[in-house]
Amino acid sequence: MPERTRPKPKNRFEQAYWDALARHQLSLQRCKGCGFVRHPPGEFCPECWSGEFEWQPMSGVGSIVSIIWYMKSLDARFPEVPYNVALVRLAEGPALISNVVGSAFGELKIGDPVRACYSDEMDFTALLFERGSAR
Amino acid sequence: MSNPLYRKVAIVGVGATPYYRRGESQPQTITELAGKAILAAAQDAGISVKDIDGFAHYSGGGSGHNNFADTNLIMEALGIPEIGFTATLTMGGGGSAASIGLAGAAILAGDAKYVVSLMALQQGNNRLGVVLGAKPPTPESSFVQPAGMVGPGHAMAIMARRHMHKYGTRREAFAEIAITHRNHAMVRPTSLQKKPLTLEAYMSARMIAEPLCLYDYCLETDGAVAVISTSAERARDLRQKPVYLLGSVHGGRREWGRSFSWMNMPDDIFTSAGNLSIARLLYEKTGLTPQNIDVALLYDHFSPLVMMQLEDYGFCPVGEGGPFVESGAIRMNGSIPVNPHGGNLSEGYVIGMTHVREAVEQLRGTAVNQVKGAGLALVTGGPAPIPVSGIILGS
Repeated sequence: MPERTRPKPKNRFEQAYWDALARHQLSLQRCKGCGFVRHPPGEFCPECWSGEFEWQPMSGVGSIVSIIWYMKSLDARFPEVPYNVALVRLAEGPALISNVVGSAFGELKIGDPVRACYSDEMDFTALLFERGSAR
Repeated sequence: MSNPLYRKVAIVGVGATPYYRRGESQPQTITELAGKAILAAAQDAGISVKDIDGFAHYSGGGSGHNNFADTNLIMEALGIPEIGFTATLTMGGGGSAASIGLAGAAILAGDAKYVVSLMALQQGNNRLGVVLGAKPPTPESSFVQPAGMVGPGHAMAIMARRHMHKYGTRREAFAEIAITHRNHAMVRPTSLQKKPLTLEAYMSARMIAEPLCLYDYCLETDGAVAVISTSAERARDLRQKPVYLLGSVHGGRREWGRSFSWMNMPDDIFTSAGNLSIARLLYEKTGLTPQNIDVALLYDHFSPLVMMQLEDYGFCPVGEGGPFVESGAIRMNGSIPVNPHGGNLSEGYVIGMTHVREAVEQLRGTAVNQVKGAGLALVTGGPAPIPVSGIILGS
């Protein structure tokens, strides 16, 4: 997996999300009005329309909903193939697009348990996952 | 059935440039491609380009890379004196089919008499296949781009994988779709891919985003297709047999709008082509059922999405698209012939307008691969973020 090459995120008001990742903690936006946890961060709670929120630490534990493997690099920032892109559903509900690192092609399947891990890039920390259950 | 558009508007002219491999339309300009397609469509209809007084675009008027012929430049290039309507559907190729509905709305409202729906595409170095990674990051894309998901066809591969897992769908189904499109394209002079494709060649092709291989992805094409619509009344006096618009729906479910980005959809939407709501409304508006449709022009950017659209539009039950396709159902002699022109996969990719062109040829009875007696055609826009769209056309 390439290091220090991933595209840098563009921040709006979710700096706290990236700050938490830099501390190797996954936190998502939780509505102060109704408690709904949403991702990606947004201006309103889509359930109750409250603009009040807090950053709720997540367990980082989840499972693979689906996964593909790039066999050919189509982007210079991701030169090493094969690499995967997976949709991971967290135990708390939301699902995110990420990579499951540390496993070779063919070793991962839908339903496998994964847990959050982190990649410190040049300008930010990326959220990744690895195979395994809660530490 | 409440649908004021029903048979009130007709397609009367279609024109196109040749289809070119990506980059090979140079040194023509994008306005030149658009102009050639519009001139050909006007000639086909038997009207002067000066009669054109409306434009109904989609895909934000361009191809996602801000390289497009906007209405004012087309008017300048072709000497169109005055228009009463110009509008564009938002987002991407999902609106292709409903650009005809947008034209119909303008005509029905009396804003314009002859409305052009158009796509002119020059990819050059701006490959649509990697547009997600190439775009400058936004706050939303920042939750996807760092994972290296660079193209729409890779997001769709994630959905296809889930469909395979959930329903036992086999790669053989995707192969059947790719091979059927190739067989259709082989006999069509406009096609960019005319070499036969075998199951062996499909199975040994290189993977792009496993489980999808080279042949699951559409071609990278330059070219333009223009379609002219007018009122049913005026259509009767023109050169061609009118092709009537029976219904047009665009929009979609909120959760589908994340399909090229962070996903996180409920599972039933995740393994669909995002067209379930479109199909329901389209059948309601027209009083028709899947059994009434003679030929389906389904937007085929990625082969699994053809299968998922067959499910969304009710040609087979949800989850049974794989065996349905493998049975040969989408071939010319199958229960629902799909994309007799060879589609985006094998004829050429002009963001959906080739499908409208083929529907018109089918309903005029002039198609290269003619479905015998075709009277009703379904055309869909690309399963892409909102809007997705569908129209039904009739002779």
